[in-house]
Amino acid sequence: MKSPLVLALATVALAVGSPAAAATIVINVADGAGEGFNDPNPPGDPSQRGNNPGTTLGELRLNLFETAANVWAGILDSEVTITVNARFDPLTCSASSGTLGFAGAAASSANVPNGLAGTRYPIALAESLAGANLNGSGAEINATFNSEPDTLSADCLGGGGYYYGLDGDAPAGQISLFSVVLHELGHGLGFASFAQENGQFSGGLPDIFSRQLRDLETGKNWADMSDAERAASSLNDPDLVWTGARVTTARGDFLDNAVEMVINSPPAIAGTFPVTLGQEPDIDLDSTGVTADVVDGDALGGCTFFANNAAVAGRIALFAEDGDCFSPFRGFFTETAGGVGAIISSDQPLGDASVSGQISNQDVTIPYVGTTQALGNDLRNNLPGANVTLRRSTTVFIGENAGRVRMYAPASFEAGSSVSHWSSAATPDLLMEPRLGNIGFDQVDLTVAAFQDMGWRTRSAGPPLIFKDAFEIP
Amino acid sequence: MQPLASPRACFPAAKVLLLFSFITFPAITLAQDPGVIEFPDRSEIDLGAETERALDRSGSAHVETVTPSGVALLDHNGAMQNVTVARLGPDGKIDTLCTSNREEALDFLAGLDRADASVTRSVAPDATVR
Repeated sequence: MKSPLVLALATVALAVGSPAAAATIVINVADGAGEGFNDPNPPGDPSQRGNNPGTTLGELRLNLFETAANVWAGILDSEVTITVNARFDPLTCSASSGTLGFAGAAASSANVPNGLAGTRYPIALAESLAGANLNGSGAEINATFNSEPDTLSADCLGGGGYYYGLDGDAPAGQISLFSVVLHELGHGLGFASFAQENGQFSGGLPDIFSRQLRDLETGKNWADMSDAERAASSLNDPDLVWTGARVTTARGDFLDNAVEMVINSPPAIAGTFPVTLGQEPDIDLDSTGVTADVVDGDALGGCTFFANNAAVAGRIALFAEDGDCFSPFRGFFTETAGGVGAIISSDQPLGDASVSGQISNQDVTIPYVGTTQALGNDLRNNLPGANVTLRRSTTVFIGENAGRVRMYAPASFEAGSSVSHWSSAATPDLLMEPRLGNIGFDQVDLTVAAFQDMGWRTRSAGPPLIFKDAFEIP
Repeated sequence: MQPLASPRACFPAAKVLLLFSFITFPAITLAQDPGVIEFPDRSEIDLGAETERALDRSGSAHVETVTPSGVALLDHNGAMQNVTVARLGPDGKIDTLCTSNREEALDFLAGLDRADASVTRSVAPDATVR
């Protein structure tokens, strides 16, 4: 940490909004001379630069922040400059884990001109709505990142350091920083609830993000709940959803179609049921899907190659998860025998780990799906004679519940969860999911629709907002 | 689909390498378990004052003022932020989690909550893989 005097002397401000950008986002460097954004040293490993034109650590960091800020500046509309107070400081790091950084709105406002009454807004959005600076010389966003990974010490996350490239090509072991900064700036601009851990709203008023949330189980919006109800709802996956109309309308542009199992026969158990598709990347499944008779995979083979391929060929094999067999193997062995699909029933809720994981040295192209133990038993009790179709839904998308996009609300934590993210179930992954892994995002996908629901004005012809096969900075 | 938005981007190379390893060492017949990584003890993790403040959702840090125009301004004073933490995955890649929940951050840093971490295993040539 630096003294206020040093900070004041060292602070520089750089406007990063391009002339065509509707908003101007300024990175206000809050580091002292010779450190953080002002570090004059080259990166310890030249490969950290990627396609970033900077030569020093300070330049690399600033270029990366400016580029991420420019993505948002090119989308949002505001007459008021958005200032990001940014710095790099030593934060927690061990050989196997550590803090990368944090960011958030520096302040929030209520009674905002052109805003909803009785509603708190993140300061950047409040100023955009009001068309005026509301917090004087204060920054709109605070962002602090850990400088320790750049020591390249094995004692900090394996020693790979940050990857400062403005693309998605981080070498193995390096931390892809661009996506993390893009994500954290999204929080600072308003993708965050200001509900406290006990469910109470900060300042006694619902914030505009929380006003979009509804609990499908109770049927209540967050703004209408008691504090205790809200705290409980923050743990109520999969029933905590986003209600804003723009996100609901746009969800199909960003989320994959869900997978369903149609039991065609016998009539006694016929119906259409949601199932969870396995994670192998080469599974080929469309809305027509595959239709076949079901055979008992456990009786014919279990967790090994089938002895009698003819019994499986052209059919869908049914397995009961025994907790012992890696689920993708079921798909692999079924496909090897000529089967066209596999169903794995388990006690786990849909969307959980019953069909998670991938095989590292073989491909699986047939659909293998997870279903409930009850449905598995229904099928098992009707063999032979059961016929099913596995297919993509044309109306339901992965990561939604009852037509609304799910929020992150795992029941794992008593002190209120981190609802300021989309559900991890969303597929493909979204920028504002809690786990980015080490994958590269340059698009802000569904976040723009969320911002629109919250009242952000956006450019009518902004940069491309859908996922691309190649990483491109607009 | 979206190779950059998927944790599978590196798998083809891994598949080639593992397949080659089976050709070279056909005696290997067991499924490959995820790597074991030593994480710090949860009770010994010191997040540091700045991060603790960022994860403070008690509201105690807030200071509210009302401007002459009637706008109520709540200074978060460094609280109510979202924190990204990272850890090494069993495949050597970096796994990240963004959270506003202190307990979730500590669990992640301590290597707990690994249920939804990506997992890969290989198929052995004799395929008795329990």
